[in-house]
Order: sequence, then structure tokens, then C-alpha cells
Amino acid sequence: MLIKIAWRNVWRNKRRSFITIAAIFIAVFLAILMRSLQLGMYENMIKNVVGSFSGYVQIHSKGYWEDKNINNSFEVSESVLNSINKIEGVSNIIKRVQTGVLSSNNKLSKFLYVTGIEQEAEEKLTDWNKRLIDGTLLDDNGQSIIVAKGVAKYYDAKVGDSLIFIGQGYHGMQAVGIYPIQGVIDMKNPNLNNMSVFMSLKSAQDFVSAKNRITNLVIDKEQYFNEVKIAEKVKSKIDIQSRDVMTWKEMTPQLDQLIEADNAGGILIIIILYMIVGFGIFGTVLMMTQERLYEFGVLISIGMKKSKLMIILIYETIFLTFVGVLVGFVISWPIVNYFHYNPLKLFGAAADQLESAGFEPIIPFMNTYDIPLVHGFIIILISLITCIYPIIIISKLKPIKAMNR
Amino acid sequence: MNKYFLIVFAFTFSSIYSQSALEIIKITDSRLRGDSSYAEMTITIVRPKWEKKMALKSWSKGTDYSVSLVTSPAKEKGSVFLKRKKEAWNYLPTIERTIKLPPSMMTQNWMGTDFTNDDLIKQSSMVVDYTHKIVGTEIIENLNCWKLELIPTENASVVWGKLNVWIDKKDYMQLKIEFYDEDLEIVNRMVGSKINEYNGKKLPSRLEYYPLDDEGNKTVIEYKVWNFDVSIPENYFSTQYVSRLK
Repeated sequence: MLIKIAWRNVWRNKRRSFITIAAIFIAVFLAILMRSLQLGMYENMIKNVVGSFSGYVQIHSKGYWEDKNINNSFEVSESVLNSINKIEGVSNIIKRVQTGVLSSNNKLSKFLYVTGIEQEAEEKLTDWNKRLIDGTLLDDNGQSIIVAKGVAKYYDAKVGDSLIFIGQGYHGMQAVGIYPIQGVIDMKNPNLNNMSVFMSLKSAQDFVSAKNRITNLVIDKEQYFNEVKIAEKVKSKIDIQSRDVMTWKEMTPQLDQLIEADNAGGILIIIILYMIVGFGIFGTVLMMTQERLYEFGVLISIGMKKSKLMIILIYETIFLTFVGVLVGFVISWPIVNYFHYNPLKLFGAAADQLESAGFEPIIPFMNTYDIPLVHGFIIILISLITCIYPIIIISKLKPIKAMNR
Repeated sequence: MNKYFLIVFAFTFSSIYSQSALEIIKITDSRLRGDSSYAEMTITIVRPKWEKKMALKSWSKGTDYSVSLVTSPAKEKGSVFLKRKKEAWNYLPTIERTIKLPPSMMTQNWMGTDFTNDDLIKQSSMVVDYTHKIVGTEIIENLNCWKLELIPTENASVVWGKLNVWIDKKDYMQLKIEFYDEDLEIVNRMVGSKINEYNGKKLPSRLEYYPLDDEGNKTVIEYKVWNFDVSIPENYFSTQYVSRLK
């Protein structure tokens, strides 16, 4: 009965309801777009740096992270790999051997990181074909290398040239070799571009005399799965006495901090937005209540209980907000999705700055459901809080005074 | 008069003492080096979690020229380390190249051992670069030894701040050396043992070198063959010959 009255009240004065709905709609719409854009940007930054190379979770031998040394490598058994693969949200497991070497070619020399990779597995993490500038990709039995474009530029090397590596092998063995270049790759990250050389896992293990041993086990996750939870589950599958499980936040804290700082600014703006919107909604509610004082007075004087009138008002507010929030969802969703699949492309100085920091200059929107849900919920909460005002008015209402205009 | 005599006596006494310290060092140095030498040895690098053994052949001429050839493990076979005066080269058969060690690599380990390249190249002469003093006698390996304190002379280019050397009184073998840095903190210790006779010379066949900063690390050198005053062709110490050494 009360619900019915409330529903009718909403539609009795269409223009008034429309103004309230519009205020709520704009709040929801802006909040969703802003958060989708911001979170999407972070997701993209993480994907650029973490997703494309270091992976969301890595397993190392204990002590490797502090002393990145081939002696801190480890062997991983098939059964462990299988049990990690079965964890929900794990999409890929990639084995790598990484070691620092002194490289040289003619008169130049440079410190580089040689990474032994399984080409096929790596391609599930990043599209190597897209990044390959020149030459061909590695095959598992080859003895050739792919160099990052910064390295190629430093040595002025082309496909077919060779680099000499001198490094430290496993357990004090010499690691020395000469390797022809078979490809040049753009790692989309200036640090990686200046330091990286890739060879097949097998030849890297040969190079450092560490048969079957790896230094990093990279675990990639499916989108929107939480890496911390995956890391926890991985920890239960392996011997954590001798292994470290690290998430990207622990491996690249600088990126996490950058995002945290930027995100704090974003949240501040959202709070300001909500304050403006909150007062906007409050304004309409205030106006509406004042307009209807006469009506309230009549209702109470003909015997309507104040409590029932309050409940009707709450129902009305809920109807209005729900409609506003729903419309906000419906209109923002296609926009968010459109920009998710067709990201905004930056240009000019902003693009250059992002690129030099190692990020792609695009902003894809984030299209998870939690953004509209969280912000819809916040708006509903705000409207319910503004409801307090008419409730107080009604509780203090004196019918005679109210009807006396 | 009495007082004067005492001063003169003290002076002569101390000068005899220091004279004999220099003498001791001269004898031990010439016994260890000879004019030239040929040695076959194994070097064991011991680390807390692993150890690595390698076999070397080594030729030397005076203090200026030396060349070492790795004969095992198989993967490193044929690697050569050549020292000519203050310069050093490394020949790596895998890449068929001779690399001159740049100054930046001087502080790095020599072939993964606890010695640095500098230790081998800047080998100072115990005779010329230090002042010597006998500070006591001690028994090491059941042998009666002098303990000598060696302080580098002011213009000697020596990395150590002080050396303590234990030399046995009968055969002039260096049985123990302690290396101190400029702040006179002990950094390395070398201990000789398993005395053997090589060409009529008694020498410790096993040397253990401990870097005291890294606990559990040591390098052990064991001499299998050690011949002195052998004739070595001049070209053994040239960069052209390194790939043909056998």
C-alpha cells in the first residue's frame, strides 16, 4: 500500500522527479566513467610493465632476489608445475634463466641481462611477433639470440652480426660464448630495451652450465584474478623454506607506489564529485520537501501517521535513486565498453612522456562490474542520507502551521 | 760509559736482527720462485654450498712472466691466463679470442677463485717492497718458525697494509701468511701444509687461502708437479702462442 502511494507520488510531479533523477544519473555516470578511465590506465600500466615481462607472480630460489646470481637457481619438477597450473586463475607458467654478462662486439662492450626463454610459452604472455622489428623468433634448439632494440642500437648490430658474452656460470664455471643475432625486438620499455638479450632456455642453461635449472618461474594470471590470492595458493604447493613467491608489487614497488599516489588523487576528486552531487541531491530534496509542506500538513491533519509518511518518503527516494542509478549504468556501460576495446590514444607530449616511462600511450577503460556497483551503492547511500532532512521536517511538522500560507 | 755501551749494544743487536729478517725473506723468496718454474696443480674453490675443482698447468719466469693453462673441467679446457709484467690476458677457446683484462676487471676474482686478478698481477716482491722485522717464534706443523712482520715501504705500490709471515727455520718454507688491509684489519689468511720435496726443495704442497670476510669460502691449491729452473721457450709468454699451449 505504502509502496504504491510512493510510486504514484513519484510520477505525480514528473518534472520534479526528473530533476532528481537527472542529478543522480549525472553523478553515477561521471563517477563510473572517471573510475573506469583511471583504473583502466593503471591496469594498462601494470600490463605493460608486469604483464608483458615480469609476470604477476614469480617463484625464485630463496635469496635470489637479494643476490641475482646463477648459483641461486633452482630445479622445478613436472609435478610442481602441474599443481601450480591447476590453481584457479593461473593462465601460464613460464621458465626462465636470467644472468648478467659482459657483452662485447668489436671495440664496444656493455653489461646485459641474458634471459633464456621458452619461446612458445613466452608468446602466451606477450605477442612477440608484434614486437619483433627484424629477423625471426627463437626456436628451442637454436644457438642464436634476439637482442632488444636499445642493445642493437648501441652495437649498431644487425641480424647476422654476433655478440660475445662473458659471465659467471653455475658453481664457478666460466660462461663464455659467441652468439649470432637472429632478431631484434622492441620490449616497449626503455630499461628492458637497453639491457635485454634472449636466447632459448636450453642454450642459456648450457651457457651457464646449469642444466635443467632456472632462476625465475613466471606465473601469469587471467584478467581480474587477484595475484595475491594466487601467490598464497602457490605458496601452499611448494616448499617455501627454499623458495620465494613474489607478486609484482614486491618486485616492482616503484610502479605500485606511482599508481597508489595517482590513485589517491583520483579518489580525492571522486570525493569532491560526491560532495557536489550530494549537495545537488540534497538541494532537490529540500526544494521538494518545502514544496510539499502543505500536502504533508493536510495528510497529517486527516489522520495519516507521521511514521507512515516518513516511510513513503524513503520509498520515494529509493525509487528515484534506483531509476537514476540504473539509467547511469545503462548509458555509461556501452561507453566504457567501447573505450575498453578501442582505447583512447594519447598524442603529443603526454604520449612521449608515457612512452619514455615505458608505458604504451593508450588509455583503455576498465570494464569490470565492481566499478558501477560500488559507485551506484555510494550514490544510493548518499540519497538515503539526504532523506534524513524531510524526515526531520515531518517529525517537527505542525499541520496548522504547514497549511497556513 | 756504561749507559753509552748499552745504547751501542742495543743498536748493533737490532741491526743484526733486522739484517737477518731481510736475509730470511731473501732466501725464502728465491727458494719459492727460482729462475723459472713449471707446475701442475689442482685448484679447489670451496663455497658454503658447493665446490669446484679445476686442474692447471703453469709456467713462470721470474716474477714478470707467467702463463696458466686450464686442463679440466672439459668445458673450460684450453683457457689460458697470461701475465706479462703489469698486464694480463685471458684466452677463451670457446670464442677463440684473447682478451686483455681491463682495469675494471682487476678487482674481480681470478678464474672464480678467492684471488683477485690484482693479487696475481701486482705481485709485490716481499724482498724489495717491504721492511722486515722478526717479531717472534712459533711452532707451526711441528716446525719451528720465525714470525716476521712485513710493512710496505712508503713508495711501494702494495695493496696490503701489513703482512705477517711464518717461515720455518730449517727449510725457509712460508707456512702461513696473514694479509692486513690499510686499516690493519686482517682480511686474508694463507696456510701451507703437507710438505713435499720438489727438485730437492722442501715446500708445502697444499696452500689454503681464506678470505676472512666470506665465511665458508676458501681456495685450495695442491701442487702435483713442481719443477724449478726448467727451460721454457720464450714464446710461451706471448699472446700469439696462447691457443697452442699444451
